[in-house]
Amino acid sequence: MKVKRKFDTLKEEWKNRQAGTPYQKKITELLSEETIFTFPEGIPAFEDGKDYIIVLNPKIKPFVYLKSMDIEGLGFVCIDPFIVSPDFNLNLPAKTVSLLDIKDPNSVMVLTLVTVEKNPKETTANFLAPIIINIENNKAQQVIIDEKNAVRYRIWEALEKLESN
Amino acid sequence: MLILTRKLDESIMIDNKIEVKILKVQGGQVHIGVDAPRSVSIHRYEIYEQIKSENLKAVQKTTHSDVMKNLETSLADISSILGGGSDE
Repeated sequence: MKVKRKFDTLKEEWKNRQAGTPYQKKITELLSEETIFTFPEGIPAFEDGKDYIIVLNPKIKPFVYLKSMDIEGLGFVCIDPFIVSPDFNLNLPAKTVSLLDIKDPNSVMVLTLVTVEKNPKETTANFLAPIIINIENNKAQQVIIDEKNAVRYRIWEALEKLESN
Repeated sequence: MLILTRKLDESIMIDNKIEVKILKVQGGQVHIGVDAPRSVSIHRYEIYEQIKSENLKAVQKTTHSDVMKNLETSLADISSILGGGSDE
């Protein structure tokens, strides 16, 4: 059974406070309905968790919170890798294209799982295996894009620069 | 675990569609060639393990934990230091 959540309030807050990168606009539009994202294969280490929602919390922008609907207490802070690394490269493997039934690359939304450290400046994002979401059907998968990408990519400096713009 | 013995240039076939071939054996290293449909993902085991372990580390049970409060505070600091405001 799928659990539905209300996004309206969060969405409004997010809209009001966000300085407006295209990505956030996209994500707010996407979440204008109660949206469940389905990971047909779960994510590694949590294969039983298939359904997630994305919670927008203005206090942690530009991060979002990916929350499991199947496993209690399972959630991840995420960030769009393009925000912190404009030259982030994405070449989707054929398996992902077929698993997620991706027809149009413009329908792909990318998030990376963030490991938040006690000292937030040490916080890293997993660039080795981003979350790929097809916003046409809300199917998602954690995908190894390039084995050379860093599993712990430091993001704080980029965030500081982002805020200064 | 199924254990098979193979010589150089010999292979095994998995599910009639995935061929795993021994290409070269040198010192302590084995070169393996994998022929599989594009729909099959193939990775070094340790890469997959690395992702699993990082996923476990990345779990945040709630957005109200101490770690998350720290994050909020630090994000707020960035915006206030740099003059990026909440009023737009």
